Amino acid sequence: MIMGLTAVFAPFIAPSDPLEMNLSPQGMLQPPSLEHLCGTDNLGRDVFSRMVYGARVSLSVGFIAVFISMVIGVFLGGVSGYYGGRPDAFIMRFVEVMYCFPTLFLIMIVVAFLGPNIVNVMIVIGITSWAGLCRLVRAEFFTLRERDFVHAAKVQGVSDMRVIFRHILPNAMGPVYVSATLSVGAAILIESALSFLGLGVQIPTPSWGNILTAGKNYIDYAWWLTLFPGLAILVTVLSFNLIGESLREMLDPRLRERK
Amino acid sequence: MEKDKKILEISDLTVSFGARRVIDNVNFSLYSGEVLALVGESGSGKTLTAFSILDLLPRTAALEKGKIMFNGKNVLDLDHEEIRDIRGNEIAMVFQEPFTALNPVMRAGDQIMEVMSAHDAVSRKNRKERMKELLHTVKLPAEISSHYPHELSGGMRQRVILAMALSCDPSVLILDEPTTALDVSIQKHVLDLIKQIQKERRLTILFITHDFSIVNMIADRVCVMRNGRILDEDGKEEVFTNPVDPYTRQLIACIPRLGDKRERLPVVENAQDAGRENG
Amino acid sequence: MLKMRDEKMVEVAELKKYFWRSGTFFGIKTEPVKAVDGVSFRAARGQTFGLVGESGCGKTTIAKLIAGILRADSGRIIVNGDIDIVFQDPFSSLNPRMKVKDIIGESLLIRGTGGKETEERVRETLSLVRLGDPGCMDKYPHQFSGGERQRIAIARAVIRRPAMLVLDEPVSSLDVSIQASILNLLKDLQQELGLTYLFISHDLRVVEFMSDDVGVMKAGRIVEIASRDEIYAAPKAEYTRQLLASIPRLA
Repeated sequence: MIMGLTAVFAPFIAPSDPLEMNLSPQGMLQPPSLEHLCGTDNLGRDVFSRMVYGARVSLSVGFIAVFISMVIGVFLGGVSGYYGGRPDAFIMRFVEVMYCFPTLFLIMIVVAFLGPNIVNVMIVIGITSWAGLCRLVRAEFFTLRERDFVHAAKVQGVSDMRVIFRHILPNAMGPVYVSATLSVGAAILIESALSFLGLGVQIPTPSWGNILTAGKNYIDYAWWLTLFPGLAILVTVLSFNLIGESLREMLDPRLRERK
Repeated sequence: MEKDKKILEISDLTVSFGARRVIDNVNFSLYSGEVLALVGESGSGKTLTAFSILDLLPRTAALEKGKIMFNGKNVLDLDHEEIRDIRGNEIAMVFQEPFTALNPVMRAGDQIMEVMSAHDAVSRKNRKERMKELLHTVKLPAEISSHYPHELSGGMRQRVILAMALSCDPSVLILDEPTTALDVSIQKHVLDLIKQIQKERRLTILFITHDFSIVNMIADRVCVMRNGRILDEDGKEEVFTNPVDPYTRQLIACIPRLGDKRERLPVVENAQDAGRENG
Repeated sequence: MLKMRDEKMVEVAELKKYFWRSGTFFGIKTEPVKAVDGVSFRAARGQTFGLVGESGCGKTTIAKLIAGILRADSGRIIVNGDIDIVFQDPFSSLNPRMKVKDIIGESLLIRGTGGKETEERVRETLSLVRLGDPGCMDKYPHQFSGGERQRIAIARAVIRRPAMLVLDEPVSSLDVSIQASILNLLKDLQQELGLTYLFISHDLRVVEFMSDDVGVMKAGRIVEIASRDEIYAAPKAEYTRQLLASIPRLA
């Protein structure tokens, strides 16, 4: 099942497709044909190549944003979970605040201030979505911290830092990977929304979101401008969700079985 | 001891999980009124054999061949209704972990009565009476019935489970390591209790354990299992003094005992360590 | 009377460890759980001190206190050298994501021993615990059986040649046949390396086999303390007698 999924979203990794965008006005608004698989848009550009480039945008935002949130979340969750007490209380208050924020609005405001470009989008999504991961990691740390092998390491004189990174962390990462995979889907959705609203990736750089923006004016007769990017977003997010779920399934029974 | 009436007969039982045979051509019988100890280390197949008797094998287990005759019928051939009828009613089982066998949100007394209602063995109005009788039999005060499992000690919980097992007056009782999780002093009380109940009700007991000293305390006959096979099947005395299989002899020899003056323990050749995964 | 043979290896005096239940409402003081309530004993160098008792008596807490995993609330622990520990559960006492050689060699590496030398010492220690097959070093714990894992845990504990080992129910999770070989191994190592053992168990038979001196614990206190022969042949405390009487005999 996982194989099937990877196959589905693999084509989207094809963004190393060096197809140039053809700005020729003659080709404006052409329906899908053999030459232009997804038709052309209002400026005559081949939608398919724009989609492929757009894929690169979406995926990179997805991965990098999640990576950022992972770094922050894992670090804070680890500190919180390992030390407990005051550092934990402090970090947890912080987490609760983050949870309460309507993140989409926050992102929009920040981006509106800092200027919409792809890097800002990645950073902002990353900075606002680490809370869930933090809690996850913290919970894992609480359980792992009491395991015998951690005690054994401490008795041997292993430093706290080393215990956290070399001993506990590798064992805590399982659920993190699952959560991260699911988050990639979410990140892609946020990026698309931002771009759609004009707050994300700016034209002429294509992103599925902004292709949709252009498309919304021509829905009646140039349906392909809406259908394809929409479909792309749907399929990609779905794929990531399914991969995440399969990962979770893979990790869980294995953990249970290994007594 | 009631003479020589076979209550249960297991023939050529062979069960596998995929390519691995976990029960390998097992043959033995249970005679009325006796205590048969099924002894083996972890992974020997003893618990699975007991599960087969009540058709409790996991779905991934494949029955290759064999019969288990009880009351003239092959247990392995029975349908769901018929098996349900036997379970708890004629053959009852007590499992290893007293903590997980009880429902944490039900009072002890209710759980005992629930078993009775599941089998309709006792009419509604008599259940409470019977429940109190059972508690008395297992030497627990009647107030226990209103307690929740977490309020009881391990030994008490095991007794409640015993009461549940006896509630429908089974003729056969299967006990799977019932005292392993208990402290030594509690263990003694529970074992004494089991012996007493067995005598009073002329129960037939299949007692599964890894501990030979418990076997010595409680068994009439012994079956020694290893890797799914039966190595020795004999009366208790014979197995202890003159076991057929060298493994049995070594196994008994390597146990430290009180007053043991040995400096080193003899070891079992090719001792199989349990818990190995993919070599 | 405890036979104090040679020099003291460890001395424990009036050790106390209480556990308070967290979260008192309205500052109402709850009674703490007195896990260890004034325990004193001594273990002589090269000897085995057996600590025996039923579940909840506090013996595991003592193990953690002496090994330094927990801090005592009051009392003294004086140790004449390095200590290491072997736990009961061979499954959870080894990091499932570390290779065996890293698990055993870690205590050397963090103290600056070079990679090559560490590997040598690991190899040497593995053969000491009879896991001489060279393939073992690069494997992961789950590829070994329970008894083998316990050997790995023992190797980890002895690689720096500590003076003393705390053994917390080291064979309780193992099958009887494996138990025998591990107990033999522990005795051999004690002789070869001159180790002092604090051997903790609920199994009186195993404690008798291993120990020179024995302390019987109940509810956080030592009820009786004497040489092994005295405790088993002529127990003075009622509790000790009860315990001994409850043990099922083997023919």
